[in-house]
Amino acid sequence: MGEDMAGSGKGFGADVDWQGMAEQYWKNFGELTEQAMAAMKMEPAAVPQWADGLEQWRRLFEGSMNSSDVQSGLDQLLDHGRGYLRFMQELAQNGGQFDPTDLRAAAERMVAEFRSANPLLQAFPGQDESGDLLRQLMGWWQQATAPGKEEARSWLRMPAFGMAREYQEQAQAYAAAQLDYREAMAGYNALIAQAVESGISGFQAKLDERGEQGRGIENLRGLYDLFVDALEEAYAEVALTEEFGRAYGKLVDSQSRLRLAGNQVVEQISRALGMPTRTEVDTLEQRVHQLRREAKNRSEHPALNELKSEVDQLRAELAALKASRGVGEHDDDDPPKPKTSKPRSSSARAGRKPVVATKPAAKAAATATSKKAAPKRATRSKSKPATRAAKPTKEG
Amino acid sequence: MQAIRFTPETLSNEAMRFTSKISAGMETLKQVDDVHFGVTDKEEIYAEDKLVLYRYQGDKKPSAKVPTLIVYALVNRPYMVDLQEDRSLVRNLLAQGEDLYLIDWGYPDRADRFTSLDDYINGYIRRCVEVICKRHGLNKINILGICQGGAFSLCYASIYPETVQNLITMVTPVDFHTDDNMLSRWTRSMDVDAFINANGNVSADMMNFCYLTLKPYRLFHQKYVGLAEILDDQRELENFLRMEKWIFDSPDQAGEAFRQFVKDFYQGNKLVNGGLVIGDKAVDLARVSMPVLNIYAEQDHLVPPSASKPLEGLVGTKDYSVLAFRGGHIGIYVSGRAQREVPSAVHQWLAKRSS
Repeated sequence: MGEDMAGSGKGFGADVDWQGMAEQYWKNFGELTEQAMAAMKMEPAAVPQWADGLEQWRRLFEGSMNSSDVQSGLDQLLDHGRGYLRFMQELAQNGGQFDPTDLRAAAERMVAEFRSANPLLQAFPGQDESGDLLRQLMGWWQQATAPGKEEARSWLRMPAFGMAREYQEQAQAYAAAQLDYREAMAGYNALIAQAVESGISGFQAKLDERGEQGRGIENLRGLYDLFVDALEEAYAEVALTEEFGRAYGKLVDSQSRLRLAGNQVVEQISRALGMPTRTEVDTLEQRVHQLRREAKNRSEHPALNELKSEVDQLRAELAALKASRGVGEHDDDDPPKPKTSKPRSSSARAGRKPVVATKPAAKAAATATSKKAAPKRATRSKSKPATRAAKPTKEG
Repeated sequence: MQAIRFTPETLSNEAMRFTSKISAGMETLKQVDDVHFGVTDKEEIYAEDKLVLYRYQGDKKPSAKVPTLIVYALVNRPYMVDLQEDRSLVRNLLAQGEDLYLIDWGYPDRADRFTSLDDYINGYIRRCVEVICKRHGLNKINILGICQGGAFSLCYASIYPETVQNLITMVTPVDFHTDDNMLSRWTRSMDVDAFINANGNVSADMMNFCYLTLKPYRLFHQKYVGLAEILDDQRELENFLRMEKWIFDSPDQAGEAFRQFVKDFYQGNKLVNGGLVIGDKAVDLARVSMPVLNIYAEQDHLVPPSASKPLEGLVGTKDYSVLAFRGGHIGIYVSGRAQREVPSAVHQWLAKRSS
């Protein structure tokens, strides 16, 4: 970094007793933690590092929080706090001079944090999943790729023979996918590195601008925020390019192929051991899903709703008939005496329209249309003629 | 003039202050229990698969004659609209007299791998609307769609316009191919078929990683450095943790729906270009004929304003309103300004169209 960037603020000179200052910091920190530290018989680090204090605190408070959310938040806080303190300490140790190497290292530490959080990296069989076969495959792949990439690729394209040819092909496909993935990751990382470089230059430009405008930075937090601003702006600029989009797509695609190739290997073994495979479970899931949709669609089919309303109307008609004949009030052991009933209308006889009930019958009909159906015996005894009244009418 | 105006001593002191803040914060952290969210009472009205339809219960009876269904995105949990007492879109809308329902999509698992956009839009949303209409004896209700839920609501309103009285879209992407849409740029090149075939569902971790890498230095690092500043304030700390929980309490995404969403929306940009078909039903925004209020956030890095504003030129309605909120994608729910501005604007807009 250039001289301007060094900031050479007041007080940063060769005569600064850095060691003494760090010890003083540690002494202060030690006072803060004295009692707890004594209880835990902890010793401060031999070479005082500002960030070490936070590690001591982590050990002190590990597992003591009331909830996992809080514990997780604490871990995040301490992790990032350490990075921040290291950033401060490096700056102080260099007498306030910005060494480009240190800045790059600070930026790369931040990049490493988000890279290491990448769930894609944890998604590969053989990387985190610890099947013996996969470890063997990985070892085999490492041997295969040792002489050089092109040679490895040609080796991976060699035809397979005999009983084990399917296994070999799958293993070759997996190893080839691994190579593709690493290439894609390298391409992606190169663009991230480009963004870091651009961010460092942007930081310098921002500092220059602040200096020229007389807007000085009074504390390290302000400086850190400016550094983050510069890194974010540079990252956004790169991340919005088509080149980055292509690199991102290539990375995701290569990860997909690697995972698929790994799945193939695992499935082959699973089948040999009589275990269900992911593909089989997917097939079952798909079939169940289709069945459920069909069932749902049928249950919502308009014709079914028409049928439902017809059934309701028929129940009403039946109840009306029963009420008019006094049927519904009796049980099997006490059959009702035949009553003189009103003749059915011609339309009902023709099976087209339900009967328009008389007043008492209408009341009974209303009861029957509720969820409680008419007594079974009565329903059975009248079902045949009633079901012929198929079409709902306004009267119904 | 030099930009840097601090000395080694001030630097050392600042480091000490930072450490002291953290050490003092340990006590605060020890006093913090699990954070709670979702402060408003709600009643379960309907359930299907992992979906639950809730009706919120305010302190007073709703005065609105037409209820409003909130359709949230699949990618986060919907309690963001009712995060805490002083940060609740729901609570404020209820206080204005609105009658609110909300779809909670639940947490899809591998059994939901083949749940499609057809299931979500022509199935779940349609049935929820039917349930509400039936309860209220209405033919149509209001819909408030948020983010991806806004895109779903647009599709629904286009297919079933006769069931939507008024449509409100909040931070809703419409044009997925604008220059400043980072997510869109990243997803356009990917082979989403291979991605879903390989992964089945899309894990919450993958989704979160993708979102965080939109602003990696701020979201992976700076945010936690800033946390030290509020460690000695229990209330602020709880707010932070509540938000942190919401960010990472993410459901996995049903593979098939994700595949379709990326293909048709992010890659095909079919809300703008046309040709979108959900199940067997064509989506044409010109059929969105009911009044529309589109609310976007001016500093939204997930759904840039440029992605949301084109809605005006695409919908068929003659009654189109827009509200530009000064804030970001999250601030539109939780900031103090949002509490003051958004619910009252929504209520007033609805009230004018309640007849």
